[in-house]
Amino acid sequence: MKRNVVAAIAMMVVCITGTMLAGDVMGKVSFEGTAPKAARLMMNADPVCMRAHKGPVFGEEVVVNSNGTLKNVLVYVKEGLGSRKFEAPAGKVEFDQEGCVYTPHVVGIQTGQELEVVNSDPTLHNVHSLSKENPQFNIAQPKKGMKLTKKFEKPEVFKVKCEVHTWMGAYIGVFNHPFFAVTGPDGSFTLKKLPAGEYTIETWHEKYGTQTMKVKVGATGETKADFKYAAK
Amino acid sequence: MFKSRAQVPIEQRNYSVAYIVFAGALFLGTMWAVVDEVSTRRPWKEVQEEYAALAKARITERLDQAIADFDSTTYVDLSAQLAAAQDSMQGPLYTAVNEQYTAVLELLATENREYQFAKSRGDEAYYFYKKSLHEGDEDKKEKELLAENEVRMNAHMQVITRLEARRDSLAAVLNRYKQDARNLQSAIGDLRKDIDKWQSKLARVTGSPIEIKQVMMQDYDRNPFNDPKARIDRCQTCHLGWKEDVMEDAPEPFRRHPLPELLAVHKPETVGCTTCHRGQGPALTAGAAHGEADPYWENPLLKGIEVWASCNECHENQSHLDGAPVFSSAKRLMIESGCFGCHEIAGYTDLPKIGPELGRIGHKTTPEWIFRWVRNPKEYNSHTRMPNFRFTDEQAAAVTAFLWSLSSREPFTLQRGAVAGGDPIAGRKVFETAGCQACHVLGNETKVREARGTSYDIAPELTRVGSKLGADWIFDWVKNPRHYNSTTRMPNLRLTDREARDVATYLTRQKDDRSFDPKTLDLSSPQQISRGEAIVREYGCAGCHAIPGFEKESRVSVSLSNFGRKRVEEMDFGDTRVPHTWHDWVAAKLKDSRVFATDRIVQKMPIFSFSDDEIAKLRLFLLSQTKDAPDERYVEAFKRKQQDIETGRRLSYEYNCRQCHQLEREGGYIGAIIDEPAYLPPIITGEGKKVQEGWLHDFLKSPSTVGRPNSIRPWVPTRMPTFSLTDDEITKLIKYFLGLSNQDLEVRDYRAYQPDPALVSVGKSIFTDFQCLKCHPTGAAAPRPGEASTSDLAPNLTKARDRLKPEWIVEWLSDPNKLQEGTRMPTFFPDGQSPLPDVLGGDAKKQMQALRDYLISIGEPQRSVVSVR
Amino acid sequence: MNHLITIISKPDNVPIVAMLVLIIYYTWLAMAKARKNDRQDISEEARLADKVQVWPYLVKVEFLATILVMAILTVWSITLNAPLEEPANPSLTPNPSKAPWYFLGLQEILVYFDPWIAGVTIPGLIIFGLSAIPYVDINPKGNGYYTFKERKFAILTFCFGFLVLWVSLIVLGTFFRGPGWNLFMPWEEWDTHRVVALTNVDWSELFGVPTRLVDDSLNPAAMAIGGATVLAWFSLGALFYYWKRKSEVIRKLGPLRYAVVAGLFLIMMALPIKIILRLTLNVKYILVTPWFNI
Repeated sequence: MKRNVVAAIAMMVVCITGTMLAGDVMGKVSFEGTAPKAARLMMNADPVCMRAHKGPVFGEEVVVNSNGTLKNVLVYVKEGLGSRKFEAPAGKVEFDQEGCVYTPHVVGIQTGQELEVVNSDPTLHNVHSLSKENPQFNIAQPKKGMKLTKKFEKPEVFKVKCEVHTWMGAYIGVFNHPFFAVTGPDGSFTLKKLPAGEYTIETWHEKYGTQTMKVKVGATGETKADFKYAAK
Repeated sequence: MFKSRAQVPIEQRNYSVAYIVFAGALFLGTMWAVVDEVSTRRPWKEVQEEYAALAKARITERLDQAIADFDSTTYVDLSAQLAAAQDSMQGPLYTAVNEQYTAVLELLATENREYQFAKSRGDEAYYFYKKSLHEGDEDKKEKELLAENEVRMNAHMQVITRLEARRDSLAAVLNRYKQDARNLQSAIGDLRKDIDKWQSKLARVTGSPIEIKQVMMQDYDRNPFNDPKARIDRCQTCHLGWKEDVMEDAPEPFRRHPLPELLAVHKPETVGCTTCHRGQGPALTAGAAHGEADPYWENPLLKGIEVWASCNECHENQSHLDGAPVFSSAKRLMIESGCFGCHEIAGYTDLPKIGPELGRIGHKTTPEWIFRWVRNPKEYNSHTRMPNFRFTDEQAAAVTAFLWSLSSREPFTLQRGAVAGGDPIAGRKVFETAGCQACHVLGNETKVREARGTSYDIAPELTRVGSKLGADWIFDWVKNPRHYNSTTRMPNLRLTDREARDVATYLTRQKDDRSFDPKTLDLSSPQQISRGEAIVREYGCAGCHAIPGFEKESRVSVSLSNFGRKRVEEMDFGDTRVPHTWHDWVAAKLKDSRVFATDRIVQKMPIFSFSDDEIAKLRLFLLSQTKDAPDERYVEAFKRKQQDIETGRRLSYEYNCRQCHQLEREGGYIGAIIDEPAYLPPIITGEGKKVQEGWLHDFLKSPSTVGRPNSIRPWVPTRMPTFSLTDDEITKLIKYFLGLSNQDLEVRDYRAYQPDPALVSVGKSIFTDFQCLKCHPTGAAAPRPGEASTSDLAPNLTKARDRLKPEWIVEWLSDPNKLQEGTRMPTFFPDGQSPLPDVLGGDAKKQMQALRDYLISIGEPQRSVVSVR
Repeated sequence: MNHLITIISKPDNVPIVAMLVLIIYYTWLAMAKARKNDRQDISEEARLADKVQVWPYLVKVEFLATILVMAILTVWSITLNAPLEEPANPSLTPNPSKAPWYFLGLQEILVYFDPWIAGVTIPGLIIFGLSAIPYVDINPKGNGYYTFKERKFAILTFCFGFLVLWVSLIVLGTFFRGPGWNLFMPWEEWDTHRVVALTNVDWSELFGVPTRLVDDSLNPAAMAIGGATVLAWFSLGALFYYWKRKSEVIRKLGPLRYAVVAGLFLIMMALPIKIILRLTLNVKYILVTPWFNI
C-alpha cells in the first residue's frame, strides 16, 4: 500500500513536471552559396492568372532571404516525444489559391486539425494531394470564393498541385504534435513549449532534403538549434 | 538378501513391500497421465489465456479512449430532448389524439366485419339465384336479397374509406411524436456506438471459454485411395486475433492477418487456414501444426513468398490474380521464359511459342551471326530470353548449317536499296518518341527494363543490331513486321516510308564494336545439315521456335504438373554438395541447369540467367504445381466469364500490352522514359466499362493516335501501334475488358441514346461554369487560349459521343479517382455535393446527367457502325 | 555407428531392444535354474511332491506383475509418442517397407526363398512343427521344473529355432535392412541410392552347369544336380536312422515319429545353410524346376 502511494506520487510529479517544465527551441536556417535562379512561372495558359499579376512571377522552390537564410523550411520534432498524445487545436489552417499561386507555399498542420482550402481566383483550380499515408483527394473549385475543409489522420509531408495550372505546387506537413514551424522571411523558427527532454529536430526542404539535430530542452528557457543548407 | 528370501517357503513369503512400491508406481504413473493429458499436451490452453489477457488490455485501452472521447455535453442535451419528447407523449394533446385513434380503429373493425358479412350473405344469395336460373325457375327473392346486400356493402365501404383516411391522418400525427423520440434514441445510440462496440468486444473476449476452435471442411480433400475426406483446421485455437484490428501489431500467434481484404474472399470461418498456408490442421502444438516437429507431414507451412504457391490449387488456369501479385508475377515469369515449350504445365499447354520463326532466318542475318548466337546468345545480348545451350563450336556450326539450309526452301523477297538517303538523327528521334523503347532497349536507355524488373527483355535489345541486320531488312520489318514473320508479336507503328528509312539508317549504325575471330562455316555439306537437324531435335529448339519440319515435335522434357510433390529421393544431386532438399535442388537447377550433370548423366536443359528473385519466384511456381485440387464445391467455378477474361488476358500478355499500359495493376513500364505524365498511355483496366464496344473494335483494328482525324489526344507523340489483330482476337480482348468491369458483351446501339434537350442546355452552362475547356479541347488540334503546352491537355471531348458509354460519363464525373487511381481529373462533386446550388436545384446527380447529355450532343458521329456479335 | 544408435533409439524399436534384453535374461535364468536342479539330483518323486496352490500363491504374484506392467505401459505411453509416419498411400510406399517387427523374421526369409515358400510353406511348417511337439516328444522328464540334462535335444533345438532363426532374423531385418531391402552394416548410412552388384547364381552354376539352356528352357543337368543335392540332404535323416536304429531313443520313437522329427529338423537346419550360401557364395537357388524353386 505504502509503496503504491509513493509510486502514485512519483507518477504525478513526473506528469506535472513533464507538462509544466517546458522550454522553447529557437533557431534559424541559413543558406550558403549562391541561390539557384528562380524559375519564372509562365502563366500564359490562363489569362485570368496573367491578369492577376503585373510583373513576372517566380517559383518558390528555393527562396533565399536577404539575410542569407532559407525560407519555406519545415522544422519539426522528429523523435523524443514518446507516446504522448496532443489534442488538435480548434483553429483552421488557411491555404489559399490566389493569383494562381498557393499561399503559403509550405504549410504545417496537426493531425485532426482542419485545413481550409480557398479559391480566391475567378478561374478553375483543383487541389490534388499526392499524399501517401492519408487518402488522396483531387477536388475542383471552379468558382471564386469556394472553400473546402480537409482533415488528415496520419503524419507525413506531401505535395499538393493543381492539374489545370501545372506550375502550381505547395507542400503540406502533417504532424501528430504541435511542435513544428515553417521558416519565414527572416529564416528563423521557434518550437514553443517543448516539454523538457531530449529530441531529434528535423528540417525539411523541398529541394535540399532533410537535416537532423539532437537537442536537449531544459526545464525553462530557450535552446538554440541552427541549421545550415548549402547550394548544390 | 535374495538368497535368504529364496530360502523362505513360497507360502510364507511377504509381498507387501513390492505391492506398495508397484501400486505407488502405478498411482504416480496415472497421476502423471492425467497431468499430461490435461496440461502438458495442451499448451494451447495457456496460449488462450495469454490471448485473453492481451486482448483484454488492448480492448480496455480502446474502451477507455472511447469513454474519454464520449461527447457528454451532446449526450446530456439529447437525453434532455428525449425526455421532453417522451413527456410530450404523455401530454394531453397526444393522449387525445391517441384516444381518437383507438376509437377509430374499433369502429373500423366493426365496419369491416359488417362489410364482410354483407358480402358473404350476398355471395350466398347469388349462389341460390344462379342455381334457380339454371333450374329454369328464377328466384326473385334471392335476387332482391343479393341487391339488398350489395347496397349494404356499398354503404359500409363508404364508411370504411372515410374511417381509414381518418385513421391514417391520426397515425401520422402520432408517428411524428414517436419518430422524434426514435430519432433521438438512435442519435444517443450513435453517440454510444464506439463504447458499445468495445464493450461487446470486451465481453466476448472475457466470456470466451477455453476451447478448441476448429473449422471442418466436409469432403474438402481426397485421401490416397481417392475417397472424399474432411479437412480439419484448428489453427484458430492459438491464432485467435486473426481478425481483430486491435491485434494488428500484436506478437505471434495473436497478430491480425496482414491481408484482411484477402480474407474477405477466402473466409477462414469456412475454408480454414491450411487451404492457403498448408501445415497440419488438426495439430494443436506449434511444432506439429507448422510441420517443423513432424518431418512426415507432407504439407509443412509455406513460408515467405511461397505462401502464394497454394493459390494454384484453385486458380490453376488463371495467370493473374489481383490480390496475389507475387503469384501473378511468378506465373508471368514462367510464361515469358517459355518453360511450357519443353515441359508440360497443366493449364498452359496451348500458349504460342515465345521465340521467332526460323524458316526464313537466312534472309534476315548472316551465318556468322547465327553461329555466334547459337554458341552463346548472351554474348551478343546479355538480356535475351534465349538460354545458353553451351554448344561446342562444332555443334553450333552444325546447327547454323541446318538453319541456313531452311531458308532455301522458304521464298522471301526483300526490296533492295529502299533506305538510301535515310537520316540517322531523325531516325533516332522517331525511335525515341514513337514508342519503340517500350519493348526494345538500346544502349544505356534501360529504364523500361528496370521498371519491368526482370533479368530479361521482352523484345531483342538493339544495341548491336547493326551487326545482325541489314538496312533493307529493317526497313521491310518496321514497315510491316508480318511480311517477314506472319506470327510475330512486333506491331506496326505505321511509320511513313521516310520515318522507316530514317529508323533503318539509325539502327544499322548500332554496330557491335567487339572483334571476333573469323569462323569459316561449312554450310552446304549434307552431313553438317543433318547433324544440325539432329541437335535441333534433341535439344528441343522447336519448343520455342516454329521450325519447318518440326511442326509435330512433342515436348522434349518431363511434365511439371506434379513437380511440387516431387520427393527428394527422386532427385539426382549428381556430384554436387547441394543439401538434399527439394528447395536447394530447385534453386541450384534454376541457377545452373547443368549443375547436376555427371560424367554419366548428360543434361540438356539450357542455362537461363535468372536473378535470385526470379529463381525464388520460379521455385514458388514449381512448388505450386501439384494435383491437390480441393473438392469442386470449394472452388469458385471457372465460369465462362472468367474463361473469357483469362483468354483475353493471355492475349494481352502475348501482345505485351502492359509494356505501355497499366492493366490489372501491372505494367505501364514505358512510363519510366516518359517524363510528361500527360503523355502516358492510359490505364486500361476499366476500359470495358468506359468505352463503347464498337469504338474499341475500330480502335484496335486501326488505332488512331498521331495525325489521325479521329484521334483523341493528337498531341501525344507515342503511338498506339497497329497489332494487325484478327476480329476473333479483338472479340477476345473486348470480352476481357468487359469481364474485368463485370459486364457482358451485348448488342447495343449507342446512337439510340437521345439527349434530353432541356438537360443539354443546362449541361452547356455547367460545362462553361466548370471551365472544362481549360483542359479538354473540343476541336481537332489544340484550340486552347494562349500558348498552353500540350502536356496540360486532356482528351478531346467531341469524341465522347462515339467513344464513351453514357453511364460511364456520370460515374466518372462523380468520382474520377475511384475509376482511375491517380488521375489528374479532379472531382467537381466532392462527397456528392455540387458546387452549383442554383442549377437544377443543386442536385449533383442531375447535373452530371446534364453534363453527359451535353457531351453526347456535341460532335458528329464519324465512324461506321460495326456490328457486334 | 551413430546411424545404428539412431535406429536403435527410435520409438518403434523399443520392443525389439526390450526383447533382446529380456530374452537373454530369461534364457540365463532358466539355464541357471536348470543347472542348479541338474546338480542337486533330486528324485523325480520328491520333485513332483513339492507343490504349492495356485490360489493365492501364484495369483498373488501374477497380480503384482500386472500392476508393474500397467505402470510400465503407462509411463511408456506418456514418454514415447506413437511413431506415425506419412498417411498411407498405395501409390507411394515407404522404402524400406517393413512388416510389423514380430514378422520381420519371415520377411527376411523372403530374401532367400520364393514367396510361397517363405510366406506359406515355412510359416505352415512352423505351426505344424509346434503342434506336433506333444506327439513326438516322448520324454516324460522336465515337467514342472527346469532341467537341461534331461532334455538336451529338445532345448537345443528350440533355442536354435527361436533364438537363432526367429529372434536374430528379426534383429537382422530391423537393424541391418535399409532402403531397397539392402544389407547395411551398422557403420553404413542408409542411402536410398545405394547400388548393389547383382551377381547371384544358381547352385549348379557354381559347378559350371548353367540353369537354362541357350533357348531359355531349363537345363536337365542343372535340375539333376539341384535335385541330387536336396535329396542328399534329406537322405541324411535316413542314414542317421540306419546308423542309430539300435539306440533306445530311436526305438521308442518309432519310424513315423522319427520321420516327422527328422524332416522338420532337417528343414530347419536347411534354412540357415541356404542363408549362408547366399551371403557367402551368392547362391540364388539350389534347385530350379518349372513349378517351384528352392
